[in-house]
Amino acid sequence: MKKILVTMTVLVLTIAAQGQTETVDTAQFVAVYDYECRTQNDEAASVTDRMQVVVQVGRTVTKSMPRSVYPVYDDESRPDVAAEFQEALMHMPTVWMGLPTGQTTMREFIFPHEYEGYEPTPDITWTLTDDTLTVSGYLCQQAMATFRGLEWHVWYTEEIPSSAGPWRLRGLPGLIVKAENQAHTFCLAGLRMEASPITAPEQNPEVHRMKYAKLLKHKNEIYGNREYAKKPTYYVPDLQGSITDMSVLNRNGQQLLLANGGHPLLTKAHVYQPLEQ
Amino acid sequence: MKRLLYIILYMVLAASASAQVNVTGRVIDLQQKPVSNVIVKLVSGSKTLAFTSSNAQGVYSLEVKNAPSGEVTLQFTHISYEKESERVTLKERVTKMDMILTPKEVLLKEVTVKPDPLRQRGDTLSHNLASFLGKGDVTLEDGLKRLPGVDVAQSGAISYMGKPISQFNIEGLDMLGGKYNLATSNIPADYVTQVEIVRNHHSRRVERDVPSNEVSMNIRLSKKAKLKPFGQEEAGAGYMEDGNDRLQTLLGVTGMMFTDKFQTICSLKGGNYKSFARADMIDHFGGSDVSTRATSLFGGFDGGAPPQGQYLYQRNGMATVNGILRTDSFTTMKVNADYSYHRATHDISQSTTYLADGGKYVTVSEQTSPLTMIHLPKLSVNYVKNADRVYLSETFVLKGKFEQNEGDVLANGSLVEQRRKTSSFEVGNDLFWMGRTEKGTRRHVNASVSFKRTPTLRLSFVNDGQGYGQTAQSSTLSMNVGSSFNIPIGKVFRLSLPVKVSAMYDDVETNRVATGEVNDIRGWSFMPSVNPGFEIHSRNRRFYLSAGLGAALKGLYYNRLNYTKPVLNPSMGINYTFSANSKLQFSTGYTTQIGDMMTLLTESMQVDYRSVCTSSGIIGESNSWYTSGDWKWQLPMQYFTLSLAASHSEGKRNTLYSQSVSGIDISSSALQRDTRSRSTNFSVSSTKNFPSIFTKLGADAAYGFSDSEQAISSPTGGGQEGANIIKVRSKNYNLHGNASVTPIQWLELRYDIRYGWSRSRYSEESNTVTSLTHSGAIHIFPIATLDLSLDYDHVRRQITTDQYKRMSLFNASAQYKWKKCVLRLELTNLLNQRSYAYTLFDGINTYTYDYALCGRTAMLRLTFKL
Repeated sequence: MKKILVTMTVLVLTIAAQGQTETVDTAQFVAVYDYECRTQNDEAASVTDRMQVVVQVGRTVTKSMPRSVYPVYDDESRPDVAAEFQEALMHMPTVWMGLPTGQTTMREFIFPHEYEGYEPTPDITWTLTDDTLTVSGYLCQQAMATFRGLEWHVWYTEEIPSSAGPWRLRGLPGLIVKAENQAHTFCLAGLRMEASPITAPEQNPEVHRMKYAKLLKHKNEIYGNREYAKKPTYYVPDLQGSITDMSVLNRNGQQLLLANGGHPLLTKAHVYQPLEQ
Repeated sequence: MKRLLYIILYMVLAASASAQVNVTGRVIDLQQKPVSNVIVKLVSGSKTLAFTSSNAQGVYSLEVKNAPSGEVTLQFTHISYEKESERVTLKERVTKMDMILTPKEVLLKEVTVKPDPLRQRGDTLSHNLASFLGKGDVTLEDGLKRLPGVDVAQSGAISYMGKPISQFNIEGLDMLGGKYNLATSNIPADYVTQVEIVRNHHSRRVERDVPSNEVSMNIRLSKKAKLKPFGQEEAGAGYMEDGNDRLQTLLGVTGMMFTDKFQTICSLKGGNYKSFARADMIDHFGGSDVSTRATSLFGGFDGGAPPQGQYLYQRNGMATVNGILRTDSFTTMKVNADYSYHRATHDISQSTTYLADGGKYVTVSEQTSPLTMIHLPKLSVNYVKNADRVYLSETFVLKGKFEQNEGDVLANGSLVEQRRKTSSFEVGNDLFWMGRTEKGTRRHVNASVSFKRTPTLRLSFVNDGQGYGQTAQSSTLSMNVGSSFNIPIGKVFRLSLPVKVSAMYDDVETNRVATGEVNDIRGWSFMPSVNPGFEIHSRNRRFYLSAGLGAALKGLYYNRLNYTKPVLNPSMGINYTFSANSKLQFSTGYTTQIGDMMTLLTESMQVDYRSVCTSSGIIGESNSWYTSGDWKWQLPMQYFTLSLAASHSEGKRNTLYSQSVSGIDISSSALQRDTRSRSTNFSVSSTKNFPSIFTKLGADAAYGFSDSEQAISSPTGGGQEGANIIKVRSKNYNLHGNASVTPIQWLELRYDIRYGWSRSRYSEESNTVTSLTHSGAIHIFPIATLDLSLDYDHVRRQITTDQYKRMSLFNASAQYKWKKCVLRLELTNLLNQRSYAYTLFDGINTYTYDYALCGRTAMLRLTFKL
């Protein structure tokens, strides 16, 4: 009987101890970007999707993530569940630059799986121009680069001496304040001093790990398919078997479906505009 | 000349090489530790010549093309350190410059450029029905079928992502319960503005914070639908090439009104086309017709149903009045009154081969056209108070079932007349109370009582001018009281303790007219049960364990026997996720089932014109142990899934089924003898998607084997000792493949193939039967208002060892919507296939059925909004 009790206690403690995350750096500041994507809905009508991207800039690691992923401690600033759906429409990954050293790691949920991609942090060859512009109250200089098939026009400010930026954009002699191309725009919406912990990707054996190039090819193949906007789960071989748990929320008259531990499951999507090819 | 060119080239390269300079160095802080992410910039006047940032070791490297000859400035900036700069002259090809930075307090001009845009939005997320609605959609059901994840079955049952909905509301009110076909098939699609599919944790407000996997659906209507009553009228006429009713008709009118406080739907429908009117009366939440002890002992002569094809000639009609009144924001009162009538007949030829005493075979050939007529009236009244701290539901139901069956049979050349007539009714009351304290603790109590009675059931047979028959009556009073506690302990454990007490009083009488044999059993049965259980659910959802004890006490106190026995039904389930690619589920349990008075009917009963059955006279007890496991493997990058499943069960019963054959007469009885059975099944299924060619493929296979025992008794008696015990072993496997392709966006193609093989062995005998089915479907929607679909099945079934039957079923439909009207043409059984035949082995008996299918039918339906 004693043995059983000890075994049970160990089992429960083991179970309870799982799912921990590790802090890898502390933010020196946090930048919040508005991110816009200009695309079409499933009926080919033009729509502009919007979300926010939070960037924690640490000494060695910079973490860029959808706002709903960034932990908040008060209910008022907690993003609405509808915002999570908006983020799911826009396919913004969480990116750790400099983790591990010299590498970039990213996590992304492509229903019904979560993926992790890794690669050496790519260098972006920027061309600085003489153009200046005041954006969000900062005097900015312009730079241009072609990164994985997309031509970016970027304004950065030397007033903030950090080479960080939103998503994977980085490597300028000042913080990126605005970055845009034909379909996408990032624009600095807020900047605050916040020594928040930068957490590493949660240890989770269910995550599929692979080289980023392979993951990017898979992602673009799925979202780039013509069926995607009308039927966002078209590619899942066994949809019903893939849903482990599900809840459907009614939020302000909008039907929102959460599946597999609270992940948004889209019933209609927007035409995919890749950030990189 | 060549030499001159080389000299010029050398000079150019040398000049360019002298202009390219590398500046490298290391940046450290006052503690000599490297500083990473320092922006290092080489500036000449206001022009930036080059820039980089230091790596994790603090090392930087700058490459300057066309380096100026004069002094330049090397700047070191970092958000956490004082800015430093150094003037250098780029004389050397490699210039080394290390730097020590002094920390500073991080000071930033904090900005909030604009309010949270997430709260301003609303332009992109609008998942409402209007956006899914096709222009050809007529009813709410048509619209629902387009909702991603929503599946509407042939019966009208709605499920969402594989889960059947548990509540159907219109504007937040549950007027129809499980009979929501009335709404989905009659509310015009364009009156519906929104479909909300919600997790059902708000259905009882006291449970609002309790998670639930149940899904409910709520329909929101447009303002014009709420202003005044509206309706839908449907009429159709068609022609069946062969059959009982060549002229096919349907007519229906439905009126409804939805205000904030009151809702009503009234409908009147009738016709002889398929189950047109009857379909609206299906209760998807399991509400059933009245079923009593007497009616389940002596069923009708409906002759079963073929696996495919239209075979019933039906006439059905219904009238229904439903209303719900919201008296205040917590309280509703609901009344549902229904009446439906159903008359159905079909033609069937059946050949049954029985193994008789002495190893002989007896074959009985029968031709019959069973006719069933049923009247089903029902009234239900429901009161619900659904407040924050208390939930109270009180439901009263009164329902009846009046049946008449005719099943004249031509058996081995002689005509036998069969008649059955019975009336049954049920009256019941169900009370459910749940309370919630200030601290959030919940308790619930439910109490239900019902009384079912069949005053008379009469079976009469005439064979060769000789009449015989059977009568029966039964009454059942049943009461259930239950309560439960559910206590979470932390986030990992959950304890549960459901308690239930069931009590039932039964009175059954049967009288076999020919022999005067009478069964008369009455008495009480009690069953208190408690099922203490627990669940462990790991926080990362990798591991889940649930276990329950399932303790109960069965007490039977009848006029012929008293019996008390405690039973345990322990069960356990485990789910474990090894990785995203690999998951395992396992469950096991032991169950003990105790029979009731039905096994005490020891006097023989005439079930149909040639079947007599007798019970064992002892309380039946069966024990079984079951275990099952399945493993799922998936490769998402290859769009591939694979599932393997295995299950095994072993059982023991204290009685053994025995049959004896005399002429064409069959007697079945139960011998007092322990018997064992075993069953093992394996299955594998796999799916593969090819998104680039819009194709989905699936394949599955199943294999199973089992063994059981059966007895053959001598018709002259001999009892248990004289019975011949036969071990029956059966094996079967099934293969299935399917493919769906969407080559262009308005065309869907589907193909399905199934092959089945089964073998039954006993003594020296071995019987094998196979079946092969090809199914194809084409769905074309070239314009939004026109919808065309074709489906085809080709079936090849084995009838005897060397005889096969091929059957083809082909249906088509076209639908066109124009303003308030919808025109639909349905063509059924276009190839006029009139017969569907197949053979089944059931232990030692072989059944061959040949159903007559309804002839080629064309039906034109017109639906319009009122």
